[in-house]
Amino acid sequence: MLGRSVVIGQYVPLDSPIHRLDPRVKILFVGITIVGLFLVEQWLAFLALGVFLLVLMFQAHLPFGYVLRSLKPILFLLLFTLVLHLFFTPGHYLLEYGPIRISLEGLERGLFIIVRLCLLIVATALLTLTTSPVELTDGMEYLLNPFKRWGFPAHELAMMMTIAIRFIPTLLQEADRILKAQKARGMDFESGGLLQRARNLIPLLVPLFINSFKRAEDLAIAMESRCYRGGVGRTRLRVLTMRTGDYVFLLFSLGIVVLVKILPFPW
Amino acid sequence: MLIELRDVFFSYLSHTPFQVQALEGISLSIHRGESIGIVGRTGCGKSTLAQHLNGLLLPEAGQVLVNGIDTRTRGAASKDIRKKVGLVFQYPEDQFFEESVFKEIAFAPRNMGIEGKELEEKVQWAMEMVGLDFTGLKDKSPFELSGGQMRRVAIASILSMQPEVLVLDEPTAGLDPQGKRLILGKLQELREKHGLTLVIISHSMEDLARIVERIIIMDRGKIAFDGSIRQAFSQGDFIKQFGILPPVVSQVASLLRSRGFPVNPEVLTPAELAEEIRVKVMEKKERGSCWVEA
Repeated sequence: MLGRSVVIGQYVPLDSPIHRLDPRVKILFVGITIVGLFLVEQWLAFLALGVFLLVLMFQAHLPFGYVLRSLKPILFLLLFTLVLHLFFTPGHYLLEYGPIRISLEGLERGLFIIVRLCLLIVATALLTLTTSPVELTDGMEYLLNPFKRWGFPAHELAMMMTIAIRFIPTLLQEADRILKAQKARGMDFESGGLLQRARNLIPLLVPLFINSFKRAEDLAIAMESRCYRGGVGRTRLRVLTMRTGDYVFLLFSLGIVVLVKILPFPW
Repeated sequence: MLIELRDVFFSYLSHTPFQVQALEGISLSIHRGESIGIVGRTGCGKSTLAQHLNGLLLPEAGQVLVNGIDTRTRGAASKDIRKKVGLVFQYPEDQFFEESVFKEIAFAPRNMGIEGKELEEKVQWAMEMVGLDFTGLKDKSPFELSGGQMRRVAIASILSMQPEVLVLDEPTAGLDPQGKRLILGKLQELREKHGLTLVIISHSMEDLARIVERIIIMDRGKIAFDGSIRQAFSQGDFIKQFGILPPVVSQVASLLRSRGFPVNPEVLTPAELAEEIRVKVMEKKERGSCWVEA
C-alpha cells in the first residue's frame, strides 16, 4: 500500500518544451555538455555553460530546489576534492601553518573542479528530472542499436532496465509488508549493536529474495505466453520520432558548446 | 475490554499530494473471547485497521488501547502489545526465512527472550494447536510443505507467542477447500477451548458464517455496520451497498421467505437451514394447512 505512489527516480512529471524533447536528443545533449565541460578551461566559459544550463532549467519549469537537491549526494566528494587541491598544490602560498600550506593555485584548481562537477550534475539532472524512466530506456535502446552489429545486447539491456524500474515499487511494497510481518513476530529492527542490526536483516532479505525469484519465474512465463522472444522483429507502442524542434535543439546545444570552446575568453 | 479504538484517523503518504485517507474516525471495542469478522471492499481500510490493533501502525488522531495501554507508548510496552495481539498477515508464508519449521515457529518467542525447554514447549503447543505433527515436521524446511501446511506453520509462528487476540488477514486465501476447512476448524477450537479472541478479515462470507459471531462492515474508512453476523446477513439488500453478498444459505433463506415460506432469515449454516425447513414442513403437516402468510 505504501509503495503504490512512490515516485521512481527523480522524474518530475511536468509539461514543458524540455520534457517534450525526444529522449535521444536529451541523452546526446548530456553527452555533448559533459564533453564540453571537460574541454573548456576558462572561468568565463564555465559561466557561459552555466547560464545555458540555467536557462534550460527554467524552460523545463523545474524548481531551483530540485536541481540543487541532486547536488546533495556529491557534497562530500566536492568538499574532499577542494581540500585535496587546497593542500597539495604547490605554488604561491596564501597561508602557511607548519606542514599545512594553502596555495592560490590550489584554491583556483579546487574551485575549478567543483564548478565543473556541479555543472556536470546539473546537466544530468536536466535529463533525469525531465525524462521518465521508460523514455530514458527507450532512448538508450535506440542509441545503442547501431552497436548490435558487434553483438552488443542493446535490446536485452534496455529490457532489463525497464523490468528493474518496473519492479522497484513492487519490491518496496513487499519489503514494507515483510518488515511489518516480522515486527508482528516481535522482531526489533531498531535496537542492538552493529552486528545485531546486520543480523536483523536476514529475516527481511531472505523472504525478499525468495519472493523475487518466484516473481521472476512468473514474469518469464507471462512474457513467454505473450510470445516474447527477444528484440528481433519486435515493434513498439511508442515510436520515437525526431521532430524539427529536436534537431534544432541538438544543433543549438552543439553550437553553444563548440562556440564556448573556441571563443578566446580572456580568463 | 481488551482492545478499544477511539475515533481513529489514519492516512497513507500524508502531507504529500498523494495522500490517501484510510481510516476516518473508527471507534470500536473488542472484548475477551469474541470472534469478529471484518469485511468490506478492497481498499476500504480493513488491513490498515488490523495493523492498528497491534501498534504496527499508529493513529494520526484518536487512540488505540490494548488492555488499557496506548499503542503509542514506546519501549517494552509496545513489544508487549505485539505479543498480546498476534497479527497474521495475508499470505503469511511469504515471510518464512528459517531452515526448519521449528526455527520458523520459534522466531517470535525467541524475540521475546524465551529459550531452551520453555521455547520447545511453546513451539510444540503452537504446532499442536494448528494440527501439525511436532516430531514429524519440526526439522523439515518450511518451504517443502504443502500450501495448507505452510499456512498453518505461519499461524503457529504467531501462536507461539501465546497471544490473547489473534488477528488474521485473509487466513484462507489461496487454499484448497480441505485446507480451508482445517484452518477454520482449528481457529474455532482455539477460541472455544483456549479462550482466544479472534478478529478475522475475509472476503469469504461462508468462512465467516462458520466461525464468527460479530461482523464489522467497513466502507471507505468508516464503519458502516457493527453487529451480529446473523442480523447482517439477513439484510441482504442493506449489505449489498457495501459490496457484500450474504452467503448462499442466507440468500436461499431470504428467497424462500420472499416466496412465502416463512423460514427464519437469520440462519447461517446449511445445517441450520435444513433444520429450519424440516421444522417448518413438519409444522405444516401437523396443522394440515397452508403456510402462506397474509
